[in-house]
Amino acid sequence: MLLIMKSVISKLSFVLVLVVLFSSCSTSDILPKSSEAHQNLYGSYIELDLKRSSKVPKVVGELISVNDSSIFIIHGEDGEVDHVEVMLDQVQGFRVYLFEPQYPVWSNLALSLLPLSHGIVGVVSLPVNVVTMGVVNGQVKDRASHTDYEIPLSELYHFARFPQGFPPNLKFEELKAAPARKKKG
Amino acid sequence: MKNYVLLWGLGLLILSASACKELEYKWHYRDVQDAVHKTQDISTESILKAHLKNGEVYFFPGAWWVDTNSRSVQGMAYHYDANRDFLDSAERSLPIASVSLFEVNKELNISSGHQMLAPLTVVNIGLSFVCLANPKACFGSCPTFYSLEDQGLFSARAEGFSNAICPSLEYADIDDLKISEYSDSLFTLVMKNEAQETHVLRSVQLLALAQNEGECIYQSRKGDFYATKGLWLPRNNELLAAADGQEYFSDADAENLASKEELILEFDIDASQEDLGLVLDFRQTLMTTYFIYSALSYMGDEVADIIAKFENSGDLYETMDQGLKSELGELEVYLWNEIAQRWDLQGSFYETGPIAINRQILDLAHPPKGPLKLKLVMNRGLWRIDRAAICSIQRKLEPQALKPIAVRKSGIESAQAKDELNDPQLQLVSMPGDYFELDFILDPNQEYALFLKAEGYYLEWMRKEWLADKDLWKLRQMFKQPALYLKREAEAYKVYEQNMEEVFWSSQVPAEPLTLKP
Repeated sequence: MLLIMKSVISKLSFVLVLVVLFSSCSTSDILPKSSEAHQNLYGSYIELDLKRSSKVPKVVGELISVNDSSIFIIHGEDGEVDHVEVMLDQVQGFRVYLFEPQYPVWSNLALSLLPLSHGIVGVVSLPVNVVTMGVVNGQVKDRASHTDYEIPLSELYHFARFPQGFPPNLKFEELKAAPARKKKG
Repeated sequence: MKNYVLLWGLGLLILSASACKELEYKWHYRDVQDAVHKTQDISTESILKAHLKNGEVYFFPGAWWVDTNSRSVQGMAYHYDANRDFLDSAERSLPIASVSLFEVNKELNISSGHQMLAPLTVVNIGLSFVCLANPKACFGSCPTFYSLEDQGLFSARAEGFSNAICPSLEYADIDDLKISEYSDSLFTLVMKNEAQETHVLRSVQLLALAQNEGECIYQSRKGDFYATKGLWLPRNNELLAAADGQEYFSDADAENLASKEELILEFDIDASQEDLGLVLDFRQTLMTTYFIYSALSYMGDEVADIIAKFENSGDLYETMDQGLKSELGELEVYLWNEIAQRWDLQGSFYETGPIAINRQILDLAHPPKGPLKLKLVMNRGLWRIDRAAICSIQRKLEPQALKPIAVRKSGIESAQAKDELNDPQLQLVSMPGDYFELDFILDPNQEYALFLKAEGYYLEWMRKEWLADKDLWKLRQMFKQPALYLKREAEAYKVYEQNMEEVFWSSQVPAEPLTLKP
């Protein structure tokens, strides 16, 4: 007779729903939507992976400017603002976000839960959904960002608040952080 | 299966390709003329940002142009400081010399993740509707048994008492676990209830048969065991020459579900061999499942009354045999008699259930020396055959029946469950989701072939959706006029067969996670 594997599919679906809910949280609250990216006057959001010799493994925040030796980043969270200067030779890798990745949360939720109604066929439809969602969510993230595999460090300035270079009359520490566009999910 | 994976992989590739990254949406220029000329091909209206050396920026959201006489950029612009605080907005004539860098932007037009997932979502919703409309096709049943190493839904080694759908049909079912040459002291059997039904188990025993080197042990339909030697495979049918899960099966007849088909198998047998048997690896398609669920749904809200009436009105087995089974028949085996020039019936195989593959032996009448020709006669669309082989029967064996020495329910030892399985007066009741491990002790100095003997019955849970299908007239036709029923139900069954069986069986291969590799 047929098996239903309902409990297994239920558990996997539950885990998937949790993953979907977590992944639906925004990458950064300063990023614009894709439809507004061209109007953005601030720098893009950057995640810098630093070499082991660095004090911290990772720096994230708004990309302010890039020069021959350093990257300037402002990290603002809960009212606290950090102005960080990272030496280029300490950078291991990066991902710079041009706009907020719009993960298809409702589609993901639907595709996580619908196999529950598929009975035995859920054994096939659930893994197919999982892999396809993985590919699509990866695409969504990939389209919203560039990594060091795609562009060299020297091209990062395109995504900075000051692509022309850091203004000589300004003090980095006095710059304000980009405002949050929405509440972080 | 390969086709499904290839199609799916192709779909993912197309999906990936259709989601190619839009890299170019902003360009930077030191010279404003470059900003004008090199961005002329932008289809949508471009936006200009003029970055000043002091960090301020002028944002031209609409039309802008360069006045070469005044060496300025003109248009409506918003002015922001280095912190991007708004300063003012006006029609501007911004001197080019004051600008450090020009940035031209275009609006991004990106398809959403929802759009990319839409086809898959539609397929999923369609599948949900199919399952809601016909739950019999999607939600199944049966007590199932695994070894500890088995992983994946379709690695079940046995289905217990598949015919025993009510108490009076309780019987002991013997299945080949297809574990030969087992020589450890402990064997653990996993028993699961993965269906929406209640299992009532009288006993579960391990039948161990001491095995000599070079011998194989098979069970007959009657539950006799034979030690055999040699294995001859059909010369005219490669598909049935290996127990590899690549099965022969056919589609049901669209006009009459009781149509029969024949399969001729030829074997080159060593002339010195005498007592020969046919070993068949087989199982059913989902046709029987369809009929069982159809019968339950025809009963609708009277299911309990009708089954109780059946139980009290005599031999239910006989009633069932006179119904659909009399038309569908068994998997009959004929041997070609060269002298008499006719097919002689040797016997038949029958075991209900589409999950676990049954392996049974049928003793053949002594054939003439030389090539051997067999004919399998079976109902179209009812059987799946993995392997057919001829072996030489050496002797009959008596199995050693072993009771479990320990039973764990969901990993926790249960003396009660053990007692219920080992005491013939008691019964173990297993509910959906229950998971038992049964330990058996064997002599480590002996190699065994292992079989399962499970006795009991199960109660299929009624589904709310089935109640709507109540049709007592069809139920009566099913039992009293099975030939007519099988003709009239053919059309509905073909829809079920095409929609569900294909998907169901295509999923049997990957006990391992699905991969894009074909």
